[in-house]
Amino acid sequence: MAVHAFTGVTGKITVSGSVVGFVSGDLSLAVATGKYVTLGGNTATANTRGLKSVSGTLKYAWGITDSTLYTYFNTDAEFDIEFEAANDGATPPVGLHTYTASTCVFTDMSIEGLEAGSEGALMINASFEGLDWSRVA
Amino acid sequence: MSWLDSAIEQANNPIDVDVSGLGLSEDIIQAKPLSAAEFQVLKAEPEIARLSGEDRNELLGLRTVYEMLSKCDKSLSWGKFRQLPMQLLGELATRVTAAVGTGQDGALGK
Repeated sequence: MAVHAFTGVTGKITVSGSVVGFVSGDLSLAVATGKYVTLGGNTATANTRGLKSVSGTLKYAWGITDSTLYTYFNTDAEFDIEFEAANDGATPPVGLHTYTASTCVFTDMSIEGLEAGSEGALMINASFEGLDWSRVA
Repeated sequence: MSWLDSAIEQANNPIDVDVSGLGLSEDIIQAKPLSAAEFQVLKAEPEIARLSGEDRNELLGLRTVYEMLSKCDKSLSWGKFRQLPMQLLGELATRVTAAVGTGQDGALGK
């Protein structure tokens, strides 16, 4: 079950803490849920959360070549993506918050704008999945 | 291990930056220098890439300082960093680049 969706922000890809590129995309967080039930009862008394996962898609990439993306896709390379966006809904609307998807891998990828890679954004359509997320307010 | 491996390992160590007197809640913060590859990636950041001349250099400098600090503190965000007053940003940039680049403890200095 998706518990939060976050779209249209610019993010930063890091590998082992080093910046390797900038991306634009979206992020979805999901967590498996379950329920507690008392022995002999048939009505759940509490919810519980289990395995977490994070996934999303990337649309554009800057500062990263198609060969690097291909390597990440074609190997066991893992990366973190940090998305950053304004606190538009906050009152007052101060500061920014970040969502970080960590230990991610690409699950599918298409590269749509190879010729634009050296001049501007590299157009891609990649999906990723990760193990965990964090949010900094 | 070659001198190159040693230099890379050295560059991965956090460096203490003395920020006393700037009115921050801490007197020492940490930074890690960026590699040449990371610096090239920063130039392609969309906001920086669409600028030119002095504007580009200013933003690239600020972003470089921020990235050096954020490598040691994941709670930092670029958006919040830019909300700091210009005078404080300038002083922070001076102290971070001095600590990272020239001092005895700086990676470049060694």
